[in-house]
Amino acid sequence: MNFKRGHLLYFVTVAETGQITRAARRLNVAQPALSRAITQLESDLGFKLLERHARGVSLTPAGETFLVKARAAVSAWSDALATAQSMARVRRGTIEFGFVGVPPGLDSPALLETFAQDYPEIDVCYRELAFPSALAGSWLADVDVAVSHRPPIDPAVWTYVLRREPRVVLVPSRHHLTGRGELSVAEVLDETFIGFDSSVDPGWAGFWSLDDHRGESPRLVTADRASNPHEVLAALTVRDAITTVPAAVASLIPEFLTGVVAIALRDAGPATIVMAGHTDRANPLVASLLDFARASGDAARAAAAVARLR
Amino acid sequence: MFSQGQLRYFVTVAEEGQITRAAKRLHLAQPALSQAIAQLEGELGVELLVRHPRGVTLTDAGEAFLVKARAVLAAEAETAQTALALRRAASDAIAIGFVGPPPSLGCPELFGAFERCHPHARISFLDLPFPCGHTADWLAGVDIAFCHAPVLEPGICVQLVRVEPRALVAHRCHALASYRRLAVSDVLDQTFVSYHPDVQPAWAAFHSLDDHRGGPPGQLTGDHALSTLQMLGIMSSPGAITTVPLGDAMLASQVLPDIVALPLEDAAPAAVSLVWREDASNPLLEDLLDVAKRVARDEDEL
Repeated sequence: MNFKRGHLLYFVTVAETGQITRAARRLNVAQPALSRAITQLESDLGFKLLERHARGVSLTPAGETFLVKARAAVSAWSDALATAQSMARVRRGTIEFGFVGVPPGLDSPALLETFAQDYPEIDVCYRELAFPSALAGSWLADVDVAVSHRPPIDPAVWTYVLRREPRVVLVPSRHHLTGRGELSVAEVLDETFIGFDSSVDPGWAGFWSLDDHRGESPRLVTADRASNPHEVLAALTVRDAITTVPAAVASLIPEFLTGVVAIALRDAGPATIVMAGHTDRANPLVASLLDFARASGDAARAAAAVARLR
Repeated sequence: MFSQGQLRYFVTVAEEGQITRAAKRLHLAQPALSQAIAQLEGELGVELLVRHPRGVTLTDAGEAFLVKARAVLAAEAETAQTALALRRAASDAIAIGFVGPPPSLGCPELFGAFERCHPHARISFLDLPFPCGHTADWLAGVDIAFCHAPVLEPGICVQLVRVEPRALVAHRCHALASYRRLAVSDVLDQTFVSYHPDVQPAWAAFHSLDDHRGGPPGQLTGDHALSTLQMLGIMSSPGAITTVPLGDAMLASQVLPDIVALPLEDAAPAAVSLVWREDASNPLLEDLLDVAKRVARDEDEL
């Protein structure tokens, strides 16, 4: 059986987008070239993968079966590639540091500043991440380590708790809750919440919609399909709806977004801010960073304990 | 970037622990392999191997990358196997695996009837080694297999074709060969053919009568069998015995003048079956299973 690895990625993308045109855009190739590649793949394989319709494509039954295997092969390949790139970064002394929403230098400045002083040979590059999908390992594929609210549990990912932060409600400034100094969970459970994209881990989306307090999804959700913090903020400015964020994010919002107001939430369970990384990548630079975070965490806890004793 | 070939080279070197041995296994010249690995390391920008005078070991990065490289090769092999199975399904072809004698000899009533129903189908029969590891992986290259049932796992389907007594196979010069009738207790303490350590333990146990003894044989041959042919090869010297379904034993004794087949009257029988993966999608599969049901029913009525 002889087929090109690149063609597998083309096929998986076409299957996922349901349209040659959309897939071509996502892959950055010309549409006729993509069509030809798929036809070539079908001829290499000896069976048809797609039914072509006027308004898009659908998978044949054989295409459905093949998609499962092709997707696994593509993802194993990109995982190996990401691991190789991470190892090459180790050699260059670089850590790719992921974050969601607020740059880590703004919400945990002390940790990173001291780390930079203690390890001048390690260069930290920051990369913004979208909200996690259900597979935390592939969410973190392109970074070595990240700081965020706890991502979905995945044996391929370790987490270390940095701190807990209260959840804070964000509302548009013309919302009826604007002006309140503080809110209780019971007061906001029945509000309309900003909608998340289906690619976002449902546990993650549910946490920011207070599902853990309600026991189910909000009754009213906007038609938005937010997959990153900017899309949530963009939706907030035009909708009559709310969401919640960690306190550190909320404290920065008024600085750069005037149409949105943050209101403290008295009795919501806190967000758990963790450092997360890959269990199966031997990365000594990340190990140093984690050791450093642990040592500073221990020192901070010890100082707090001493303060309590006084 | 790296190629599939480079990944295979690296995994083989890691498994062998020596460039020389790996080159032999890959049918490559040793300098060419060394160069390919060095090139892979250059492209990745990391060292994967530490070179010692007597072989190589993996660096930490090499260990981490080995896991990923193996996953890529396994996923790509699985994709290729699935593609072949789908191509067969699309072109009126079916691949039937077997262990022991060819199914057209061992079960002509089933496979003859199936070929008559599908005169234009391309039916290929593939000799399988004894099952090692997961049954699903063992079945990867075929649509269905005809054999004494291997280990059943989730995702594996089995349909019984017939129940057969087990028979002893032995060299004609073996001390037991002159007996007319044998009971399990007569043979339990003999030297048995040793199955390769990779062979599914339940498979080896069945052929060595462990179910009657309550444990493995006290004495085993030094050579390990991984396939029917290797098993028969080990038995070309008179030292060891094993057991197989009676039909297979009879066929072996007809083809090989040195082998005798002796029914074991009180041994638990063998369930000769069709085995396939639940996700198999070949339209001919359903027909083969239907014919097999009919054959089984006819035999019951006889």
